[in-house]
Amino acid sequence: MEKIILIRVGELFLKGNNRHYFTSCLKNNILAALKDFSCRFSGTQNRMYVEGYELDEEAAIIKRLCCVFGISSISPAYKVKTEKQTLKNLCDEISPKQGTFRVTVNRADKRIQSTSMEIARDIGGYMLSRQKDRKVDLFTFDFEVNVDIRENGYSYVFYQKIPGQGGLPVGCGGNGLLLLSGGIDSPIAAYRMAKRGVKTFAVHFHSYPYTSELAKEKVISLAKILVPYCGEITLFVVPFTDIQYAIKENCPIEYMITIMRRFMMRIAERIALDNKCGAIITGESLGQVASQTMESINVTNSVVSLPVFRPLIGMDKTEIIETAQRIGTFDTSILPYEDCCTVFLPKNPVIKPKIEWAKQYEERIENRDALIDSAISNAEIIKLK
Amino acid sequence: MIYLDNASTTKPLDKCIEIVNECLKEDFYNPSALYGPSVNLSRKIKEAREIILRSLRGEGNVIFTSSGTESDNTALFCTKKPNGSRIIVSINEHPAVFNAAMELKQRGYDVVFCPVDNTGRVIESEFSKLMTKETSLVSIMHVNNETGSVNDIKTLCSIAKSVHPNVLFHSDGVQAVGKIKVNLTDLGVDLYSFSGHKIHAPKGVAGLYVRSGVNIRPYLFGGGQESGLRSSTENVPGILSFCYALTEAVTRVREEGERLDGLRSQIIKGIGDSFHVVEPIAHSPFILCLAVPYVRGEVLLHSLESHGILVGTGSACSSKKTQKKLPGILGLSEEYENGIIRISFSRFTTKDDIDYFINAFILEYNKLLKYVKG
Repeated sequence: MEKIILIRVGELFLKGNNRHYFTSCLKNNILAALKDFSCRFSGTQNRMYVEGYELDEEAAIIKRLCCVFGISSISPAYKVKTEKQTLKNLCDEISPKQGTFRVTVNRADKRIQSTSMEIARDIGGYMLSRQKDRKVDLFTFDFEVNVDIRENGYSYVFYQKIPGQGGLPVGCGGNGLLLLSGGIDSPIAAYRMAKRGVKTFAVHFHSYPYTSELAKEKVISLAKILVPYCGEITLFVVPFTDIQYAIKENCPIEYMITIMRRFMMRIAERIALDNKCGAIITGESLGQVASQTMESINVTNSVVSLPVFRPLIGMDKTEIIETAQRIGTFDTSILPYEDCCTVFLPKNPVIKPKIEWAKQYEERIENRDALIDSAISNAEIIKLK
Repeated sequence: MIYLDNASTTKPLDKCIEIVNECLKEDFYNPSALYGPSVNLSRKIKEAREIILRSLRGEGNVIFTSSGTESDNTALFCTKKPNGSRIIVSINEHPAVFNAAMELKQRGYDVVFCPVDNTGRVIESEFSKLMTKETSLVSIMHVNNETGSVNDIKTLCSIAKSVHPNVLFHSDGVQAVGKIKVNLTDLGVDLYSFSGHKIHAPKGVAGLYVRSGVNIRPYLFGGGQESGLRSSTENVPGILSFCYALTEAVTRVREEGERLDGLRSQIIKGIGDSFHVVEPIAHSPFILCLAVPYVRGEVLLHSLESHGILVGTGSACSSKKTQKKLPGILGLSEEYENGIIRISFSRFTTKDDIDYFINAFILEYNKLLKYVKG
């Protein structure tokens, strides 16, 4: 009898001919998630197993796997050779000595003659005979003994199914470039796109000396918190102060944020294309602030041709915060360091900007291409894993 | 790098590093053991205690602790105070005292906060009004860490004792020892905190002076070190290097004070009169606090950093403006209130550093002002 962790995969079933690609993506991600543990990992397309680990690390391994997209559920299980008496003994030994229970058998190994129902009845009967305080109740039970009889000649016995993250394995949905501000929303946007298999690249705009080294550290911490979910993240920290100076000098203050965001999108698109990202990802939620009205989004969107994914667009702040608390980014997001958008914040930012006007104002900045080139070439690149 | 944030910490002296090295390499023994090398260390610690006490003209005991915060907490929590009695602390105490006092307030003590003038100095007449016969403890810092103002501890202490002879008077002297003249007996204090890393010793060592006849209860229980008042294996490298740094600083206090006061005035003159300079009646020559209009202190700090100059801001500054006490105390108008910076010196600060600082300061401030105003 050996303790193992059983991993079930999610949506990959639906992927037809591409299934192999999706599975290998998931396997790589699981291997990366388990790199700190000494254990063996193996798997077929439907079931994967972690074996040979130290028992005191089981909870930590499960916690890690619970972050990996593409896994639908996880069960710590006992592994034994498929043999009737061995199975019966095991179920009896490891189950509670009292209480109501049911036995559920899943027989994938069709070489076994008896049906699942027959095996379940057999095991249940044996368990009853061993302890007088056990009682069968198929509908309301204290514990359920699950017996999974696989084709490889082994059976797995487990009690609980811990839900995984679901979704698709990170990497199989292409690369996306996230605009990571340091607030509550953008990390959640990354999380939601990672759930659809998108590998994250991120860009953060840094307005030194207006924003501090601590603000940058905060963004790095946020990206680190996302790593268990998103896998390795490449973060570009782009110096943005000179562009802000140029806008401040040349454009009306109420268009400050709008034009800043247009520059950010242009820079993001350039970095995205350089890194084979097929989309830009933002944490915008419609109407949350002045720069996130439909008109504002239209004006900022119009400078890029890559698709812009806004997974939070229809979410309320409370829903976003709920996710942030669940995945652990919230406490870091609310650390009070100024981000680049709050520097030079106008008292009355324009709520319904016009594309033509934005264009017209921008033309006053004569060296705008050079400013963008310089920002990109001076970006600091940080790999987080 | 020009380091002008010496009120937050200082660079250890080479000699201190040498002492620490020597202790770690050779004298690593536990001073409580019975064999020769340990007894020798135990004697050295005893000597260090006596030397420090002599340097500060104290009559009583010095307990070695791990930090100024620990010394302050010991003074506030481990002294005898009747339940519900009055405790007076000044409104702008360092958090190590202020937050300890808040905790005592939670525990039912009548904690009151003494007002200060617009340079952060305790107003003696206001203190007199708060001082009652029911007061069990007073804690007022010697030199304010944010503004550099020096409280007249001797007068405050005698006011306190004249109202209630048994009141305990504690002063946080972390920014005073080795920086201004300190004569503990003359000040009349019962308890006095001071710390190593503010005077070029390593971090992790500090002291609490306890006047003879003052009883305190232990803060940490265990093996009975520090006369049973602070159990823990002694931080030998820390204590011996602390003793060296402290005596060094105390000997030089007058000459350094005059030199640094010159540099301080040089800055005040050099930067021109567009700024709010905090000028207390009595100030520490090691600290200069000023507020600039329209530009945030933190932004100026980073701009100076790009010239290799490190200064402090008046408070743990943040965009959320959680820490608004100091601008209120200084009575700053709106355009100045986010612009506090603190320049603090050490024996390593030179005139050239200050020339360089003044140039960079004017250059960066004017640059930042251009983008902020209007």
